[in-house]
Amino acid sequence: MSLVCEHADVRLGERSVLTDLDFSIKPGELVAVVGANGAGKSTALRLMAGLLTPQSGRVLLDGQALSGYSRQALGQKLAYLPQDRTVHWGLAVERVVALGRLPHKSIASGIGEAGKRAVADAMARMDVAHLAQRSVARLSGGERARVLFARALAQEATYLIADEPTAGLDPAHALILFEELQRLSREGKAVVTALHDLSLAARYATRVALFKDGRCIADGQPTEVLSSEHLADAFGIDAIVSQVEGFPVFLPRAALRKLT
Amino acid sequence: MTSRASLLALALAVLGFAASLAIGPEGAGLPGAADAARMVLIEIRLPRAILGALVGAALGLAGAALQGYLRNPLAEPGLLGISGGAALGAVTAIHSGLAGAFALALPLGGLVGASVAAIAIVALAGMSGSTTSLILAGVAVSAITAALTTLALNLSPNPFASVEIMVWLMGSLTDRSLVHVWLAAPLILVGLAMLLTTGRDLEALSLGEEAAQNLGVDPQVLRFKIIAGAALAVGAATAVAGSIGFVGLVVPHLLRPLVGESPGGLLWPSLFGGAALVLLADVALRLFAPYGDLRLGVLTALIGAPFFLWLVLQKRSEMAP
Repeated sequence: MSLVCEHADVRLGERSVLTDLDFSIKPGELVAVVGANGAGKSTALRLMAGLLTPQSGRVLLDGQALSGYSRQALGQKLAYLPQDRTVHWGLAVERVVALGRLPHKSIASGIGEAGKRAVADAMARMDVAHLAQRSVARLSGGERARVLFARALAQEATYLIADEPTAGLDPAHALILFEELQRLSREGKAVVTALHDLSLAARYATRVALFKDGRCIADGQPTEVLSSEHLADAFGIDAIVSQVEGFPVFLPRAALRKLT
Repeated sequence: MTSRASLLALALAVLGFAASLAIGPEGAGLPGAADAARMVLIEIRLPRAILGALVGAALGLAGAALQGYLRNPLAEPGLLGISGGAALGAVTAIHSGLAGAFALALPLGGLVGASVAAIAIVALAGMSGSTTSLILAGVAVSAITAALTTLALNLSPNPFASVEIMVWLMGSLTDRSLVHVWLAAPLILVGLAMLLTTGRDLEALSLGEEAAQNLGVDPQVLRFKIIAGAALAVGAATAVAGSIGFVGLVVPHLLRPLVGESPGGLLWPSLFGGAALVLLADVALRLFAPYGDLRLGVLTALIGAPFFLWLVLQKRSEMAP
C-alpha cells in the first residue's frame, strides 16, 4: 500500500512547476513537505490528490494509476484538505463535516450509522462538537480550520493530504492538529502535509521532503534533511539549527539573498 | 429542514395553481353555461396555470442552481444570456413578420435563439473552464443579444411592430394555449430534471472546487448539467412567456435561510417557490389589472426589486454588529 509519484513532470502553461518528481508515502508515515514559496509543494500535493495530471510520469495509488479510479472511489481512499478555507454558504458545522461522507454515499442511501459515527467522532476529535449547529460563517478562522479538518477526518480515508493545515492557527491549535496527524499516522494512516513551521515538521514528521524549484532535493530523516546547509540552499536563509529541552528549534538569522 | 421548506413552497404553489384556475378577470368563478365554463377552464385558464407553474419552476430552480454553482447569491437565470437569446429569437420572429404569418413562430423563434445562445456560451466558456469564464461568457452573450434586440426595435418596420416587441419583452402568460404548453413542457421538464440531479455536487462545491473534486464531483459533468439544464428550462420558459425578471433571483434568496443555506437543499423548495410566485403574481394581475394593461414581467420586477432591497438591508443589519 502506497501513494507514489514516479518521474512526474507538471507544467502550467510554459512554466515547469514540478520536474521529475519521485516521491511516495506509506501508511504509518507522517511526511512533512517543506520548501520556499513557489517551490512546488502545493502542486505536488494536488498531483497526489488526483487534481492534476502530470505531463509525463505517473501517480500510483496502491499500485494502480490515479486516473483508473472513479472520483468517488478515490474520495473513499484519499482525503485532500486544500489551503483555501473558504466556505461559500453559512452551512451548519455538522453539515460541513458530514460533506466528508459524500464519497461513501450512493445517490439513494443516506449517511448511515457508520457515517453518523464518523461525523460525531471527527467533530469530537477536533473539539468542534459544541459548535455543531452553528453556521460556519460565524466562526473564527481557527474554528473554521478545525471544522474543515474534521471534514477530512470524517472521510475516513487511508491517505490524508493536507496543504498547510496550520497556517493562521494559534500555537495551541497548531499543536493539537499535529498531535492528531501523528495519532492518525500511528493508527496506520498515511499523512502528507505541506507546512512552513520547520520546528513542527522536525518534531512530528517521521520523514521530511525538502522542495526547491519544483524538485525534491532531500527526502529522509527530519534531522538530516533540515540541516543548515539544506536550509541555506532551499530557503536562502542562514538559520540557527538547535535543540531546546530536546525539541528541535530553527531560527532564521538572516536572508542570504535579496528578494528578486 | 429542507423538506419543511419544500412543503411550504409546494403548498403555496398548489394554492396559486388552484387560484389560477378559479379566478378570472371577472373575479372568482366560471361563466354560468356549462359549455362556456368548460371552454374557459380548459382552453384559457388551464394552459395559463400550467405554463405559470412551469415557467416559475424553471426560473426558481435555475436561479437556485446557478447561485449554488457560481457560489454567488447574485446569480440569476438571465446571467447566462439564455433568456436574452430567447428574447432575441422571439423579437426576430416579430420583426421579420413570421409571427404574423403563423402564431407559433414566436415561441419557436425563442427556442432557436435560446439554443444559439447556449451554444455560444459553451463555445466561449468551454466545458472545463472556471466559473469566472462562464460568467464572462454569459455577460458577453447577454450584451450582444440586448444590443441586437435594441437594433430590432430601432429598425422595426412600423410602430405597431415595435409596440408588439416591447410588450412581448415584458413577459406575460395571457392568451397562451395548450399548444404552447406542449411546446415548452417537455423541454422545461427535462431541464428541471437535469438541474435537480446537481444537489449533492452543489453541496460539495460549498467547500470550493478542489475539495468538491476530492468528494467525488466531476466538474465537467456538473458544468454540463448546469448549462444544459438551465438552457432548456429557462430558454423554453422565456420562449413561451417572455422575460419574467427577479423570480430566479428572489426566490432562492427568500428560501435560503429556511434550508440552513444548503445549496443542494435549496433546489426543490426553489422549484416550488418559483412556481408559487409566478402563479400568485399572475392571479394578482387578473384581480387588480384584469384587462391586460399590466404585464406579468413588470409586476414581478415591481414586487421583486423592493423586496430585494429589503433583503439587502436585512443582510446588512445582520452583518453590522
